[in-house]
Amino acid sequence: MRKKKNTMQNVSQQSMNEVAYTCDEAISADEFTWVGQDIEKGNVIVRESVSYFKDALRRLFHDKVALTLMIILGFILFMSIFMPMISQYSMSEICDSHNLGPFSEDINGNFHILGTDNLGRDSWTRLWYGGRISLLIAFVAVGINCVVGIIYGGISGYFGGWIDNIMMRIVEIVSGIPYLLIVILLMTIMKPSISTIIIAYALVGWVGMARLVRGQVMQLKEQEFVISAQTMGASAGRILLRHLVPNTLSVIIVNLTLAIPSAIFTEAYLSFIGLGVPLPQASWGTLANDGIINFRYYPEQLLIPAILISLTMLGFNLLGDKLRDAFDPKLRR
Amino acid sequence: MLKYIIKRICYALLTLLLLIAITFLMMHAAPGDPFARDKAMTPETKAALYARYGLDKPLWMQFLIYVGNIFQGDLGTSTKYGREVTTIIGESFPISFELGIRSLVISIFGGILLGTIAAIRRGKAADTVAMTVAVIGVSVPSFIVAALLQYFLALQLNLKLGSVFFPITGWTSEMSKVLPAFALGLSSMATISRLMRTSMLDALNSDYIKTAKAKGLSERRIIWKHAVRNAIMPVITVLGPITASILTGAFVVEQVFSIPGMGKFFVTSIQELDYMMIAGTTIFYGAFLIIMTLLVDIAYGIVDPRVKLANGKE
Repeated sequence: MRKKKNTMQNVSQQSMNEVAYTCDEAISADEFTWVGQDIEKGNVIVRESVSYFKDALRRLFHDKVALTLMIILGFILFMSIFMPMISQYSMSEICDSHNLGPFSEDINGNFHILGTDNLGRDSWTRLWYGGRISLLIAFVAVGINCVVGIIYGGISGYFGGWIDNIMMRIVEIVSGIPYLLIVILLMTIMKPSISTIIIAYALVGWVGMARLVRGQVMQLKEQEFVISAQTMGASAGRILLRHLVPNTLSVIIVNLTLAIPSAIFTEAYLSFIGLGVPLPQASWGTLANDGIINFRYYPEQLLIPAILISLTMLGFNLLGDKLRDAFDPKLRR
Repeated sequence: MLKYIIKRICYALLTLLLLIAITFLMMHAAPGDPFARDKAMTPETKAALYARYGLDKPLWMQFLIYVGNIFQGDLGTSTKYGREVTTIIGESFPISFELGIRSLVISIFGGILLGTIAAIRRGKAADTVAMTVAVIGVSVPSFIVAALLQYFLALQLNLKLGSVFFPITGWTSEMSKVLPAFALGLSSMATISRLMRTSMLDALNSDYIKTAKAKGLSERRIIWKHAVRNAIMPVITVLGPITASILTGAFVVEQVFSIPGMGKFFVTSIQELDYMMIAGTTIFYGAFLIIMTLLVDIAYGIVDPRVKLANGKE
């Protein structure tokens, strides 16, 4: 195959150079040589076919920054899940030494990696327990937003017409209300708990995703694969879920990654103004809030949760940017 | 254009009504009793108090009265302070407003400058530094920035210098207003600078810049007169959300720096479950933001003729 290509190229180059200004002269057949055809080789698949997602993922894993981010986020996730389980202290256990500094022993000779807080609870355990709560709230809230947004936006975009009109007017009105105000309002009337924060956030957070999915679906629904599915008698639900949504997945994933830091921020913000998870539970937001009281004397009590909040938000923000680059066909080289 | 403006105003009014309805219903559904904290009282006293605050009427009538009062500029009486909510807002809002304007100015000018520098020096060290600042600014919540600034630039610096450079709390001297405004404006500055960089890169690659270069204009003139002016457009669109984030961020920044603004009252009223105050402040903030967004939308429609065209077709 390659040999044939080379000869062809040589010939064409020669003729280009020599016969450039004598175009009307016919090229004689002797200038070409038949190199034969290997039918067996023609059928061999040299490279395995790469799907869109595989390609994007490959690009992501070859990006050093993205890989580092994923390792950091994976580490934080891992520690948040398993650290409270294997730690020798529980998150609400109180020892007699209060406000211990990092790497110190309490009165009974027990070692505390990050010391203790103002009630004598082990900071290291509470830190990762708080991470667990913060991440749980962020993931579940964003997950709910995503599902509601996909269904709402999908229906609105696919059916169009007056359905779309009404549904989008509702979105427009809802999105005009500043979401933090509504979340604060909801939190003041409901009993503070993890699920309350999730519900409050999910009630207002789906709007952005709905808009995004609607736009994507409206672009896609005129394409041939949708028309052929319609001709084959697929129901609207099937077309939406099996054909349209998978095609918008890349946009959804990018948006999802960028929505997580905003959910983490909202949780921290609510905890900070006193609407967070109830005691003795902890989240990074409540830890930061507690830390600010003692900040002057024990700055690490604020700094450590603050760094983890910021690092997680930073990680997801940057990863979202990287994912967008990886998925965006326009940026392909 | 008129049609577009009228349409926007109608939406804004509907949004406002929805906000009022939600606030009203939530406050009604709120657990507890506004008078539960006080000493035990006889049923007669309670009934008299209920009648005094109009809580004995049916729900829909309460709502209509509430809406009517709001449009007359009456947001009710705070059960905690025993004063009109509008009076409290009138006293504390100017301080929050000043803080907000200061942060807005910092974020807009800082953001445009950072974004422009990053775009001009694309791929160079300045770009990397500016965008690192931007990503950190987006990722660090404002209350953490506030606490850090307070600790390092107010407390530690004062201890080192032996004199007060940035006061730790309060809202009195010019210097005391610097740190809160910066803490509040940082994340918006980051958002604007990222947006500005993208749109500036687009602008720098466009044909009219080539024309300007071909005409032999100076580099400075090309950038500031031609590129920045065109690249600034998308920044206008985020002014609405940015105002919202600055306003809500002010709650916590005011809390950290002990600024006697509205945010502090709002947070206190949340902790004290002062429902009239919460509802009044929410509606006031909501109305303020809705009007801001409306103005931004209309301004964008006037500035950018393409928006007008798109809406004319509808």
